[in-house]
Amino acid sequence: MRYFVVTHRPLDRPLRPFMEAISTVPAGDDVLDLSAEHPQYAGRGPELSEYATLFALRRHLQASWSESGPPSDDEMCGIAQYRRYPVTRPVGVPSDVYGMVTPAEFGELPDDVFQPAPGTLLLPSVAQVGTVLGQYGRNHAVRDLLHFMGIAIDLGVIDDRAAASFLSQSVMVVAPTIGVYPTRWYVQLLEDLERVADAFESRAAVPREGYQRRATGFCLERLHGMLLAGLVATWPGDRVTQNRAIVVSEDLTYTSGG
Amino acid sequence: MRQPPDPVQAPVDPGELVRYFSIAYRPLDWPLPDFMEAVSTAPAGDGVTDLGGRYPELAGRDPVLGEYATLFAVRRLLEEARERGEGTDGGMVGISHYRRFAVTRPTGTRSYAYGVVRPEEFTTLPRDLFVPPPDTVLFPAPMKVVPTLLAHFGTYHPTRDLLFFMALAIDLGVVTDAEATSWLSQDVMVPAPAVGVYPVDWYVATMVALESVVDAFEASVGVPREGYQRRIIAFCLERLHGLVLSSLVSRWDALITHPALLVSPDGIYHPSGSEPSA
Repeated sequence: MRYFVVTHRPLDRPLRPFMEAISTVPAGDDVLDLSAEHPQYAGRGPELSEYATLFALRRHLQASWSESGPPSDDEMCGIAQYRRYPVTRPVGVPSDVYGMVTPAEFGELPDDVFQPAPGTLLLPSVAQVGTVLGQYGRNHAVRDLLHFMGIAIDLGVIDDRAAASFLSQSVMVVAPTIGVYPTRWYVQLLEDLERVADAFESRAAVPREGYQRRATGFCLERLHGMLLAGLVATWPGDRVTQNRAIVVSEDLTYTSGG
Repeated sequence: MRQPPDPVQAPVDPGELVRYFSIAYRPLDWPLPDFMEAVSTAPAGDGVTDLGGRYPELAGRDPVLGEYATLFAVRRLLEEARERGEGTDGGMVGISHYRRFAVTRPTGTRSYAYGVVRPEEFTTLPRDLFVPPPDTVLFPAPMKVVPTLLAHFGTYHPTRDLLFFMALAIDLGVVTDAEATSWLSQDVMVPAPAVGVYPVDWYVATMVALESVVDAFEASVGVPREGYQRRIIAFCLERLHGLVLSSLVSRWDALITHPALLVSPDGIYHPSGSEPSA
């Protein structure tokens, strides 16, 4: 199983040997800058968040299959993000929807905290949000999500009625990018997400400033969460592990990006 | 075709009823009260003024826009009267929709969101059941939907149309981002928000705004739909109109709201879509 850690700056702590650090900005010798292979993603982090690097990873993986063919259906890949990691059992001090660990504690965690049993999905936990649409609108410009979901339906990425239901539901996966998933599913997911993001940016996006500059990334996160729920619904329940993701920080209180 | 009704000639007292329109799409099977003017945007027989001749851009659009085709024509009529100085300023306008009426007192047998009466009972109802005191907004009572307005819409119609429609309404400044968020996420809607008695100025501004969203929708993301869903824009308009109405209600002092009255020959409400047309 390949395990990728998306970062946007040099690592300030060593990763596990099985983890591969990737970025779309220069981030030091031990981080693979995928923007060298796929320059269209260079500098896109401010709009796309971690999806800039994930979209580059999708192309990187597909290119690597050109000779050997795609992996088998049951091959899994792991994704973590800079300081956020999905874990196989509860770890750390609960804060918001995360478990907080210090860098020193992170260094002592055994590998099986990060690697589930073969064939097992590993997800971060869900948050209670009132409704997905309402939570989005309280934090961001809801017109972006309305346009984004409408486009996703038009492109056949999601079903019309399922979208209405998802936007009205009271729970959502926080940080759905991280976890352990079937590699082929994850690559197809990223391809679909990128199609929607491209259409949104060409047809409906408006420039935003500051924290809201990542509007496309925020919309991607919701659509991603919806598609992830679809995967989980098809997976055997005894092979799904869901815990609070850990956040590595000297300060054991979670502070959101906003 | 009957000529449009005579315009209002004299200034009205603030808050007084200027005109009361009844939106029709075919001849009514029962007489309307004298003070109501039956109007349409397609030929609809004796006793119904076809505004489609006067506003050809709206003629025959009711299969797509539903009652809003004629509501948009009424807006033009009112605006032209205002431009001629014919005294609609500060007045109120009444609107009913074929067999749906806003009422000042609970009336009829409750069926779904309506109070239902038979035609023979309808013709005996007094004027003050339809016309509230001066300067009073009369509107249909909101109803509960489960689990949210958005999901309720998605149960019956293509969600993508409402998503785009509301997004465009925000983009055009018709509603704010926060208002749309709250409205789509909450568990109430206003059934038949077109009917009621409203300030003329607000009504004209609201119809201008709603029509701007329709124009933008049709020019960008609208797709042709068949059968019952052919009226998808009307269904989207109903949701957006309810939101715009809620902001009027939140700032108006004198309000009356009850379940709208529905006239039905068998005394029962038949849902839209389960009958040839409504």
